[in-house]
Amino acid sequence: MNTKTTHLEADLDIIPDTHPDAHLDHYIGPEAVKLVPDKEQTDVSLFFRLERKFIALIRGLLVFVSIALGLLMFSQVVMRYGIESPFLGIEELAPMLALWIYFLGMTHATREREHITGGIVTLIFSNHRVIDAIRIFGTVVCLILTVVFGYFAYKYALFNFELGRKSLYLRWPKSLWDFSMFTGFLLVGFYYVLQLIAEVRDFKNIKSTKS
Amino acid sequence: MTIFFITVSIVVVLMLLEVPVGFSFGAGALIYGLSTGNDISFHAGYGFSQVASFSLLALPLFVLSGTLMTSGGITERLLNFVNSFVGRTKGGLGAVTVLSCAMFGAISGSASAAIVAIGKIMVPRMVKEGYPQGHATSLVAVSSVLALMIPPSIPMIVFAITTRISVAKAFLATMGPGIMLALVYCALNFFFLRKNTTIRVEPPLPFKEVTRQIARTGFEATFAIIMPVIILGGIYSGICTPTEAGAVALVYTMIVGFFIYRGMTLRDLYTSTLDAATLTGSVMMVLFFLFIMSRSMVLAQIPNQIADILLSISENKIILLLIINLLLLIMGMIVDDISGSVLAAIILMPVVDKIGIDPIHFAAIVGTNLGLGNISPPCAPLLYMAGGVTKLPLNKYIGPTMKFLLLGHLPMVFVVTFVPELSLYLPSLLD
Repeated sequence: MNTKTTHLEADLDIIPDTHPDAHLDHYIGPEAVKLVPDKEQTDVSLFFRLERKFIALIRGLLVFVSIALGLLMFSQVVMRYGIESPFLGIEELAPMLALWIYFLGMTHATREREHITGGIVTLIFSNHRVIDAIRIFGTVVCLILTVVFGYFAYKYALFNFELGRKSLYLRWPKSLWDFSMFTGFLLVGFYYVLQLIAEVRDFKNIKSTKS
Repeated sequence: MTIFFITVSIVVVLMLLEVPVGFSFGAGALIYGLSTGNDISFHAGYGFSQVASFSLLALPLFVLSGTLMTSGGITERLLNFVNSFVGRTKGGLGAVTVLSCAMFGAISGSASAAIVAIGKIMVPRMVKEGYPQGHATSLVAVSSVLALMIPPSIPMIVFAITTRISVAKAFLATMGPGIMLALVYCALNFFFLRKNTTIRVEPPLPFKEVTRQIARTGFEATFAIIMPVIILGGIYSGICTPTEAGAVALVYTMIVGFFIYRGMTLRDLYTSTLDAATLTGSVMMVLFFLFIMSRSMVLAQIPNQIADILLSISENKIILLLIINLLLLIMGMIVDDISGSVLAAIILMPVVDKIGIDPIHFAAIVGTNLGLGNISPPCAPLLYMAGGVTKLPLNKYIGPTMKFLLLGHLPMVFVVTFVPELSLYLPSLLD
């Protein structure tokens, strides 16, 4: 093994392992707080048990709808060339499935903290408390925006619902498309509230220490 | 314009403070709308109608097929095939990494998927053979950009939709530069390692044995190798649209993974699909808010005003192209490739139109330049991701990365900018 690897591994070993990812703090800054704690820590709470069932349902839906979308679009090609009879409804149905993937995917990305993020906070600051405070500020910004755009999404969906609009070919209510956005923002907002609570708790508990 | 610059500053500050990119643009849209007194109630409806676009369906489908590819046994077979050509030369494994990223790009279009798929296999292999860790990590980071340049390319899908040019032509615009860049990275890899004494190289095989190995690994990887032919052939022969090609790629990956290579399990399918849907959700959130912010700026004629400012600096095409490249580089250093594509399409397209640059040529400039920005700090998602995969701190691989960028990618940006034929030749074959 080359010398650099040995030094690196030695460095990793001497950092106290108080957190599962603590050894990485030295390199990438403190890990972001989990908005839903690990299963072992939350099994006693009815709220988190229900949340786990709920997110399992969302995940199942995401997987099912994603594969259905792929198969649907593939069937479009097969129908066009195989039986020379394209089904025009696919062009309405596919965007509907995609919209639910987008907005439920957005929800799942929020829960798992997997949104596309840049940032140089951990490169500039080493104090955990400062980093936590900046992250709380970021979560508040996201929550405010979710509420504002969620409200607009609701107004938009309600407007179309009241008009009773239907899709051109399938004649399905357009609400099936429109409410995906409102549902997405509603759930994203729910998870940002959980994230804010978790971050504020962490901020209160953590001592002002350098990573 | 003052409000525009204040809005952009706020967006940049929020991004630097680790606010998700999508919400940073959302804040920009809201602040800009409120400051200019525009009606912001149409915002959500507008963003929704844009992301509901049928053409954009290609994005989730290519993301999903790219993610599934990492678990279907396709990646290993591709690597073994490329390895049979150059694996037994000094620096050969580095070249295998670069070429595999290029081939992976030709079937997935996702740079992050390339880092995970190729990096996880190749970096430990290179380190085991004595390659410096920093060199190995930086090679994966810089080569991952090839996946964005070689079609199908997700940023090019978004760019083409925003500028209303042909997706098929936009795909081909970055293909030539992508292949050239792959060769440049291979050459630089050999050059940087020429004096290295720690690398162990397997003894060369007789020509007959090499041919036999190429034939064997090539046969095993047949289904992976013909995938780009199916995807691109389908698009360019007019059999399917780029969106449908995404679905074909997905179904093909599943058939190959489950029934031919038998490396994929139902658990893999579930996990990869969930990962892809999550990634799609986060990308779409960025696009949703970005479309809204861009719309507000277009209504306020900001792109035209920027064009006027740039044209007032100089009317010389070369100087303007240099300025555009600088702006693209800065953009790429701050935002991700997909946001960069939309911003470039909306903000810089009017300037490009006025100085008479072909939109397809501009697509190639954007694709090449944003790739460079995406591996340049401070916000360099691909660079950090490569370090995350190899668990190496940035200071250990930033040096080799900068060498690759300054001697490889940056000159390629200039070549693409000032030799339009490189990016226009292949698309012209479609006319």
